[in-house]
Amino acid sequence: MDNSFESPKIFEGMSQYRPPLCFELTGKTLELVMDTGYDYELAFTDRKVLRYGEKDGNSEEYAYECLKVEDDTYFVNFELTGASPRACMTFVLDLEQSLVTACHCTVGQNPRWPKMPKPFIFFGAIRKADGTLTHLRHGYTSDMAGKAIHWNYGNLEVVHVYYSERYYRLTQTKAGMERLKEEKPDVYEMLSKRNIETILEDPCSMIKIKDGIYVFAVNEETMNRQRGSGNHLFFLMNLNRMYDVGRSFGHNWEGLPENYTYGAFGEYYDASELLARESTEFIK
Amino acid sequence: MTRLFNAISDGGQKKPYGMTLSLEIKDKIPEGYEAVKCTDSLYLIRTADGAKIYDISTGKLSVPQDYPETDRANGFVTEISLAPGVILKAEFTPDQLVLEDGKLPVTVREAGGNVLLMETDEGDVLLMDVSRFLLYALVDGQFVCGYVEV
Repeated sequence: MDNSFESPKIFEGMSQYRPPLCFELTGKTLELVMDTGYDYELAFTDRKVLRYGEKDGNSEEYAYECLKVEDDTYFVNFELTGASPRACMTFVLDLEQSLVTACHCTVGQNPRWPKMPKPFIFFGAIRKADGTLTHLRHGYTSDMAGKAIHWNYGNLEVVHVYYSERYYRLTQTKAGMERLKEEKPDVYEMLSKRNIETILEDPCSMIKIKDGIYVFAVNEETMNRQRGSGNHLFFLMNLNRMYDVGRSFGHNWEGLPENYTYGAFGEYYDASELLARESTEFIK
Repeated sequence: MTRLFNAISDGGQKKPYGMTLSLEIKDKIPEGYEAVKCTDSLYLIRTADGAKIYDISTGKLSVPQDYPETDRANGFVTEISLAPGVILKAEFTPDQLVLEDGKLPVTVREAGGNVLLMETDEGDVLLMDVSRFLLYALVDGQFVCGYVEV
């Protein structure tokens, strides 16, 4: 192929390989009644800007990105620009069940690891057109425990090993490692040391949205402790059709602020060897 | 089962990757048509008469044959996957897409600077976003999606 097919000019990180953004929520206003005791209004002004704030309180406009993971289920992410410490809001808006899962994540508060994000996941309901609210909530689940999925994010392949309801492990496929050995020996050298003496493992959240649709969220705490940088990753997975969307909030390799969305295709992977090993990081 | 569906699904054994329908253009296309968003401006449309393309930047609903043919993909060798665990070597040669050992007659068209449109002799349509390395297709009447190896 000739080189006249040009890549986007803007650096987008892994988001270069995600599906196009979804603008279906444009013009909609949602009232989010959260279990924290606060109610919020989320108004999608246009394709790029939304207005967010406490209901009947002050609100601000923010640039947002929306991706669709299933009919009537949307992933929305935006930086709370101007917030100190830096902050990000991520929503799973489940218009089918009128439910919402939210993540407020900040970074810059940890005195020892200033790049350690601090996520807070909370739940609520979306007020229906008739004014009612459902009592149900998206819930923490063990459905994924013992499974592993090989995800392809375009320029990155990883295996997320869902060790238990509360912990995940990270590895690479054997074939992927062989490719790295040839194509990126320096990366291979770094990754080949992973999961040898110690296991790369972090606490995580696994939340069931509906059948086949799950949130997987992890804070890269181990990486922060080891190298002083690691992000909060929030994934919304459609396991009926084996793809996900998500976002990374924190800092990039150059230490600059990072908050971008991505998407991937996945296939189940046999990680029984890694699943069978005792944790080297946590007393269980 | 079309030959393309047979190839991408390993003979129908693997369920292809899917993508949700887009409602963004529901007021712009006839009732009964279904759309999948492929790029910021292009949507692949399923109709009873086969695949169509809607371009939101022009407001035009087209059939693949409306787009100009191109030879820009000739010689392009890559790997594509439209179903978990099925990664196919793909080579574009004049008038053919060679998938592993099978050869599919295809017409390659250009649907904007970074988008290629391919149609097979059995009516399957593949849309490749070259800048995002993503594939969207209507194969054997089903919407499927996938990726091109970076």
